[in-house]
Amino acid sequence: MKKQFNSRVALFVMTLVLFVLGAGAPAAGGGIINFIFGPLF
Amino acid sequence: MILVIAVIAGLTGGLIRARIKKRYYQAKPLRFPWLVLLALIPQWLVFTLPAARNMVPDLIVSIILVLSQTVLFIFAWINWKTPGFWLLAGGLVLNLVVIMANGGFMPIAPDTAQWLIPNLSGEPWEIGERFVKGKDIILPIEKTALYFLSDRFRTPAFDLYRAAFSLGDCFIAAGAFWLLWAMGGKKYAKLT
Repeated sequence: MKKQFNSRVALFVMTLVLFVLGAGAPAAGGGIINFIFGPLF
Repeated sequence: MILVIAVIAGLTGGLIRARIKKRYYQAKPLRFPWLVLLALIPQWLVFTLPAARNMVPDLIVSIILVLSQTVLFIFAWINWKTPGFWLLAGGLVLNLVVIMANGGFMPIAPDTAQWLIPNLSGEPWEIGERFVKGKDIILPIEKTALYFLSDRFRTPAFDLYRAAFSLGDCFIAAGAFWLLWAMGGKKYAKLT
């Protein structure tokens, strides 16, 4: 049985995450999550 | 973070969907994925790397942001036929248009900036100042071109997480969710 989550999927998801972070422009500031992780762009 | 949440939700939903229907969770190969890395490295340098983000002049940063997003648009255009990419590209264009119309940064209103970081009360944001050295610039509504495309939407007001986002970000989040959800869909072979 093939693995359900293969390396091509992993590469696809990683590319998509990078694209989304680069294309999006939200501004994050306050809140506990931002205090812990920092404002992700 | 708000965009990362869309990715996590789409990925989780798509994987569960594939598992329930006994399908593979499969991705179509993307063309020229290295373009994304090419676009992201300059952004990472000027927005994230502490040494660079304080050294590089705002004019250079704005040029880098516009060029970087243009490269991302080229990547989206090349992969147009992949489901969800028209939403991703549409959101990117909306953000790029408002960024270009406001001097190379995403505008955000002073009261929204104040809401994002309430601890800085008493020190009003200066007009034209970059918001925490990120992609946003503080501009009053009356001086903002295409205000309806700016970072004017707010997450629900509670102290766990606060973010402001644009209409373009909504499209990008929807596109990412749809794309990852679709990967668990009918088109792929059943698990054997």
